Amino acid sequence: MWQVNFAAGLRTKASPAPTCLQGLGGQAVERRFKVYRNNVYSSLADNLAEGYPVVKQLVGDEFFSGMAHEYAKGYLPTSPVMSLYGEALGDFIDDFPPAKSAPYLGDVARLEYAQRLALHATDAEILLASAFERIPVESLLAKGLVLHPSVQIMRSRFPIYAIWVHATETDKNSIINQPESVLVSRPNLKVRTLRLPDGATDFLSLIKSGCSLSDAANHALASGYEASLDEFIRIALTHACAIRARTP
Amino acid sequence: MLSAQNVNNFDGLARAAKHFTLPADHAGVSFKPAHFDDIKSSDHSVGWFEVHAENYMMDGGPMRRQLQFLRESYPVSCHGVGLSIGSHEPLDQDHLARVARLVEWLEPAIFSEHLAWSSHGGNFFNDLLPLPYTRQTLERVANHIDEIQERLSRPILLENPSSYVWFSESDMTEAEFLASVVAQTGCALLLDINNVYVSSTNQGLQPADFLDSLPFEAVDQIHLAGHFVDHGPHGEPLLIDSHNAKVSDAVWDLYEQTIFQYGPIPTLIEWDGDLPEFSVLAAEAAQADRRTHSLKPKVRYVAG
Repeated sequence: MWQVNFAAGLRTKASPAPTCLQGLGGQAVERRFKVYRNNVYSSLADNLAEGYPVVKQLVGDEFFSGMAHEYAKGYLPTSPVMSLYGEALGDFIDDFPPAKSAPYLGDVARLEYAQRLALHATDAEILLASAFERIPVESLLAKGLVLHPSVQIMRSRFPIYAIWVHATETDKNSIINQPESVLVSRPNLKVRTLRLPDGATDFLSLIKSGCSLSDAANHALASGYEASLDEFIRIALTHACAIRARTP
Repeated sequence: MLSAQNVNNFDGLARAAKHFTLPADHAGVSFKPAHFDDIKSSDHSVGWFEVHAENYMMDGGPMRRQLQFLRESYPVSCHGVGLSIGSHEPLDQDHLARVARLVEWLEPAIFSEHLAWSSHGGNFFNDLLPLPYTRQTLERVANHIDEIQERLSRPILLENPSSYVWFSESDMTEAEFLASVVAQTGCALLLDINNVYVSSTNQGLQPADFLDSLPFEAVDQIHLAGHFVDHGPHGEPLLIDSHNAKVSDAVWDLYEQTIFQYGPIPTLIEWDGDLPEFSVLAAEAAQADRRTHSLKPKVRYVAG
């Protein structure tokens, strides 16, 4: 029972300290129990601030701290592995009324989480473009590609790449209000974030899901993306971080 | 005749042996990724490093790479913060498996955990929470430690926590509880002297009384850290185990008394918040070394 009461007391700010605690009188016990409650939520908010530096920069420290405390109250970690905590922050922001004036913020959070997943993903050796040159084009087109475990493709209704670059680079770019898609990967020890050209998003998503290069290219061509086969192969090799070819 | 091959093998063995023991006369510090470049160029100004197990449970990437460098260059101790040993609930088997995988790969000199709980009802609270000290909780904690030691195929070290509240139902002291755990499980102890000072002060007790009733032959490692001094509603001192400052004079005094009485014990400076330059941590470690060397203490055998 002691643990049920203690955990319940931690969950809500309104609840008093558990009655099974002894101390120097009621007020002192409340004050001391508050140390634990504060440790829990401050440490979770700090973890989120570390994991979402661009969201924090966009909204400011005070707003972020308030939002992070609200998130932590609703989404306590379910695992002690804190390097992956905060997965649902993007979705939380979408429904967080105070963030309504920045409708792109949820996508920025999802991008930062994708970058974190990429950072911690399994290591794998990338195949060099020259390794593919040995495979005849016809044969290559019939094959699919196994992508590096860190690769994630993200579509946004917002200029998500431009917003992210603007927040992270010292040379400020201008932001044109248009949908953008990005590919996040970690071909070596550094996370790489690339803006995908129109049409390449569908093409690379299909490759990632196991389609052959020719099927994926035909699909992209049918949906109005004009590119030569050479260009498709170039995009696959430069953006997608293939680790080997496979037979679909 | 000693061939080159043999010499290489011997070097390899010597290197391996070194990594399975923490030096008692050259203090270590918490490893923080922000210090990695300084550590690479620091030429062993500290004796060893401790890493939080849960920070390295990813599949790959630069953090695992940094840890690989550390384990090849220094003795490493692995400090768990998520097994929730003090919980009434069974151990999280998924997490125990993650810890076992990491320990198998890292081969740390020591694996340690806390006399505390952090998970309940499927939630992880990211803090080290207190438990009552009773026959029932003792049995639970001892069973958890048996299970962990069996899974990791090694004895673990259990750390005394810093506490801010106590349970009415406790019928033994923390030192008595720890002594019983050691007797029942064969585990060793990680004595956090800052935690002793923080908990004793918060409870209005003497730290020396705690230290006197501890089974010292089981203490294989010491933690030192800074704390924050606050006050309760009646003006009484309320010390917070903040790990964001230099070790206090009171804690250094307790450390000296301990080393003087029991001999050198592998010592670690913990620092987690408001992280300073690496040189500040290294200077704290050097301070521990100076105090250890100046006491000319008894020789003490310390198992790795």
